[in-house]
Amino acid sequence: MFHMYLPIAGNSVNILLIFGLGGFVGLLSGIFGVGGGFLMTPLLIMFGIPPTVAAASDSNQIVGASTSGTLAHWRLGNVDFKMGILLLIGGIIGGTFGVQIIKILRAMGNADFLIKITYVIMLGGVGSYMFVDSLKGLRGSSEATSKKTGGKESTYAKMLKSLPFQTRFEKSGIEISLLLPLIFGAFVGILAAIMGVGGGFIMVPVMVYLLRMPMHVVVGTSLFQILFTCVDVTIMQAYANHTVDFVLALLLLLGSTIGAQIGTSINKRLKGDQIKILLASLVLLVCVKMLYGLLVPPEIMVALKGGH
Amino acid sequence: MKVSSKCIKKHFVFLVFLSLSVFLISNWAFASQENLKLELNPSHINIGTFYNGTKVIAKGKIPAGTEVVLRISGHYTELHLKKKGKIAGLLWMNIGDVTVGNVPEVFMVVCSQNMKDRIDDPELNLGYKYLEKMMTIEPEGEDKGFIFKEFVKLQEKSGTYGIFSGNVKYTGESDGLKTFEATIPVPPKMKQGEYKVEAFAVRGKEIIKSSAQELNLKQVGFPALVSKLAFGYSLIYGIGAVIIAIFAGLLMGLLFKGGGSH
Repeated sequence: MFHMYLPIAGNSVNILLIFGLGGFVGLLSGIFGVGGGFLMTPLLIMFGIPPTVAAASDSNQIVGASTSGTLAHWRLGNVDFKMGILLLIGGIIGGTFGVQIIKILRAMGNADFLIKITYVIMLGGVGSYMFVDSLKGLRGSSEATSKKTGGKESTYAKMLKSLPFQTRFEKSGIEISLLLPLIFGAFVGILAAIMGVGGGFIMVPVMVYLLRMPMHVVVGTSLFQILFTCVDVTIMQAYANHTVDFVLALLLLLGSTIGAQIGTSINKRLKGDQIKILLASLVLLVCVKMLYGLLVPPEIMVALKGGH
Repeated sequence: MKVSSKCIKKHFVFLVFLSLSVFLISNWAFASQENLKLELNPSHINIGTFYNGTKVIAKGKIPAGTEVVLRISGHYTELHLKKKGKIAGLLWMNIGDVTVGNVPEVFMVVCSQNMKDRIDDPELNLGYKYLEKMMTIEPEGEDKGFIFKEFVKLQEKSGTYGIFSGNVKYTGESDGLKTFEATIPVPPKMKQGEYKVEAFAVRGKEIIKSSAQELNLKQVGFPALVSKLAFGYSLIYGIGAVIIAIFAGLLMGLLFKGGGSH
């Protein structure tokens, strides 16, 4: 009962389960500005969807969720289009470069080892830093923090100001070099390509800590950027690999577009530090899950190739 | 003269007995050859929008004193696998790629409880051992037995491989023939295409007779349309999927406009 057949995945799924899954991931997307592929793809694989189809169909779904989320955040004045476009250009350049790096790593062998270790260290580091920082903010000790790190910040600020092509980003309320979003976008693009994820997890902290954008604008701008990345991925996967299951994406979409709207509404009610600490907890949770997967012997010693 | 008539009578009785025996034996053998019938119901399955797998009933007759074993297989292919192992004595991750060839995407054996432990007997060779022998592996230095065992575990978890004992019942016996009825599970993961259903009549360690039928699965309606577009018009399909997703996102955004965003 309530099952639907997925012609490309070659399996059937429970409609309500997929709808709920889409809703949950859309909710996270609306609150935190992340695509949610890190969570969705493994869950879909768990429900019997082939890895390659799970990753590609999820990209299609993210297009809908991020459109819904971007629209909601845009209404709240939370999308910095100028910044988003620059990050996107950087991301595309970085992504293309990252694909080449991964080819070299694979040729050298042990690529998976390097990728997983980088992932765990990255998630652990970013998550812990964000968690501690937002905790301090919530405890009202942000003043003490800025005093403590004041020297470092000013050096970084000086360096930012010394860069050419300084420009004003109205929505974010900052003035920085045009080169910065391009460079950081490329950096996230490289990592995203290597790790095989959308990059929202790294992009959000980069915008908060390195570009110093306000948290609410970060979420809206991140969603705007993710939208374009996933449009590209969906079309490429459908064209080259025939791995986009539109029926699956549609079921996920129904849930995620609603979830993204509710998520945005929750985001609006939360303070910047509250969003940060929740996101940090989520990042750390994913990090722990990955570590668990690395330390506990797998039930089956082989897996089908593809996916994340 | 008397003796010779007695002798003729004796020979006559013997000849009648012999003829009768030959007739009965040949008739029995003929019956067993002819009557290993296998019928599948249904033999064609339509995969529609709300399809979630189904069951096929296999009916037939086997010689008395034999057991039936059914084997369902199809879509022989090559599969690329990631092999997991320990790195630095601590971390479990992918340590290499293995390609297994000449393996079916679907492999199921349906038999009675009695036959469960006998299907892999070297003389019968009806179970997984049959597959293992046929499977090719690359690189060649890999431990074939280990990879095969783990591969079977993986396929069983996905529902496309399995040994289903107890799915056979015998409903009657007449004229030296036994009627069987078996339930073949058709998991939703069985893709469209043709599959071979074989029936074997087994006595002791010998296959007395075998027969085969085709099971056909076909996508119809909406799934068929989506598949046609995805494989035949992939670029239009990809762009269409994106446009519909954007439209769904915008629509949901408009529906929620008054719902508290402002």
